[in-house]
Amino acid sequence: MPRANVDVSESSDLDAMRSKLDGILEEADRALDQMREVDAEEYIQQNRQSSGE
Amino acid sequence: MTDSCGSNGKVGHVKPFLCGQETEYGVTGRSKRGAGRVIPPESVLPYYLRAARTSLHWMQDARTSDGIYLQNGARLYGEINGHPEYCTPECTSPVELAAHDLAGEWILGRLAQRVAHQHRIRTAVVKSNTGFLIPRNATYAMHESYSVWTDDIESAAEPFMPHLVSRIVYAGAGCLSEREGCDGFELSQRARHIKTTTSSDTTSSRPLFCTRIRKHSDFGYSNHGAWVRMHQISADGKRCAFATYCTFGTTGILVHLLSHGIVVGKGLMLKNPVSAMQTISCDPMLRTKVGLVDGRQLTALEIQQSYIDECESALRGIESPDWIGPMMRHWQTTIADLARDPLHLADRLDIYLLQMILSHEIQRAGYTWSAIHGAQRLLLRLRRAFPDPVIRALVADDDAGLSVEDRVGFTEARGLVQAAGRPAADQLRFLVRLKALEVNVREIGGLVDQLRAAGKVDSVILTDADIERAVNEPPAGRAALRGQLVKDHHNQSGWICDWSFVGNSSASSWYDLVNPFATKVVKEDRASESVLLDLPERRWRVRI
Repeated sequence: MPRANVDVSESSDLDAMRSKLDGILEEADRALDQMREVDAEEYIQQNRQSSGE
Repeated sequence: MTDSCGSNGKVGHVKPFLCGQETEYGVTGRSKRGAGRVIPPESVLPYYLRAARTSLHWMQDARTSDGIYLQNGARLYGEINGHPEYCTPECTSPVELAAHDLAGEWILGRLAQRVAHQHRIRTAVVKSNTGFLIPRNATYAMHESYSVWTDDIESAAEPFMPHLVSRIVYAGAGCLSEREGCDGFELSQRARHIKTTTSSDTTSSRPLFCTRIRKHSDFGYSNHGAWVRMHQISADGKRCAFATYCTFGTTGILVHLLSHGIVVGKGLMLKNPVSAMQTISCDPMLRTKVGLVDGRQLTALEIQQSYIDECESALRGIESPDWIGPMMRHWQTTIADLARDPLHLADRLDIYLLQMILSHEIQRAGYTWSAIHGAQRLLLRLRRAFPDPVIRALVADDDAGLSVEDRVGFTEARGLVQAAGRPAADQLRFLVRLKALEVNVREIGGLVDQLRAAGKVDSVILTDADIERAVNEPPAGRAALRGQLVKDHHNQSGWICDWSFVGNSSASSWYDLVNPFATKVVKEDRASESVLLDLPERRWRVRI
């Protein structure tokens, strides 16, 4: 079952959090560094969407 | 349903609670042949619907040939302008809702892989709330639904609005923003599309508090007592399960109290709710104060804390479902953590995950948010004035292949960039990469999923096993009945499904699912005989 009763105090572990956040940034660096400008623009244009609802 | 006072002094008989979410996704397509022609969403969507019919257990949607219901009780159909829409089944808690939201992502992600393989195209699914090129021009979003036991939904508007405004500190998806008043980033993609305080319209004058009572649930209103399906449209669809959980959980608590005749937030009414939402959205530091009717100036976090205090007190007097206690604790902790440092929640809330990534990359490139804000305004101006090929050529700094007309545009556009100052061209090129990174964060299978797989994004309240279960299994209640019927009659002709029934006209079989709180399903057949429908033991064995 979903962990609705997780201990919320886990968010106070700042050291663990810091290392987690560093990991996020490394992945983001990799993604950005692999992107050429022109490919990035193609990718954005490919994502042209119209309104829904 | 009648209330009574139990031995613990609390008013008994918890009113049943259901919530659900509709999410429109964006699909993209590009041919693998030649230069890779872009295939518009309207042409890609049928591939997805076909892939769903060949890979999932489904039953035909009674309302549209472009829709199906799934064995997990969800509905998947083709919305206008090529958006696949995934509607979760009716969920009994915000945790369940978050699991089924991500189940929708997983289902669409798997369909994307199938479409790419079968049709030899490059395709992707994005969960965004606005278009990426000119955000103001397109919104395709997430809608929330809640069952509320009241016959006067409109009177809830004023006390709900301060919550709907201030909750964007966790209910937003975050985004790059060129808007005046923002410094390049804002909390909510959807905020700019909210135009009025209350309305029943969901497409032109999008309201902060939507008074539309959905027709599908009018059956309930007329037949099963004074409940309605409250339908809200002001929050963003998100990738982080914890953010979705908080959005539905906190709002669900207000709904739960309203269902028991308790209205919180009366003392928090805002002078100008729509303007307050825009203001709060533009401040990722969460320090901006907005004006209340009583003359006070409060931050979004202070408004949220006031709701927490009121809710805590009110909940002491009534019986509540099991999900409320943990949700209250998460709400309190989340607001306290946001007050300390919002970026500490970058591993669980979309806004701060995106903000942290973008801030880091801007700093790494040697720019400032202010410079990126200026670049965004320039890029928007260019996109409005020139066609896509010109912008592409500008970014590549190469006009080869442009038509004669576009070459004129290219020269003009380059002139505008040069006039903006020496670093403008470099900032513009960096911004395009940054924007693509933002798109990638919203793409199913993109950066967020890589981070989640690596344990860097914390779902907090869910495991992958919970999500996989939600892909295949419905929640308890009416959704379970629907899901079981979909599974039983998959691939059998003549069966159609709706939220309120499952039927086969040629076999004269009809299952009445009108009451969403039902624990039994009524089958009417040609001879009007009652039969017994076996459902899994953990749900019901019911007389029909």
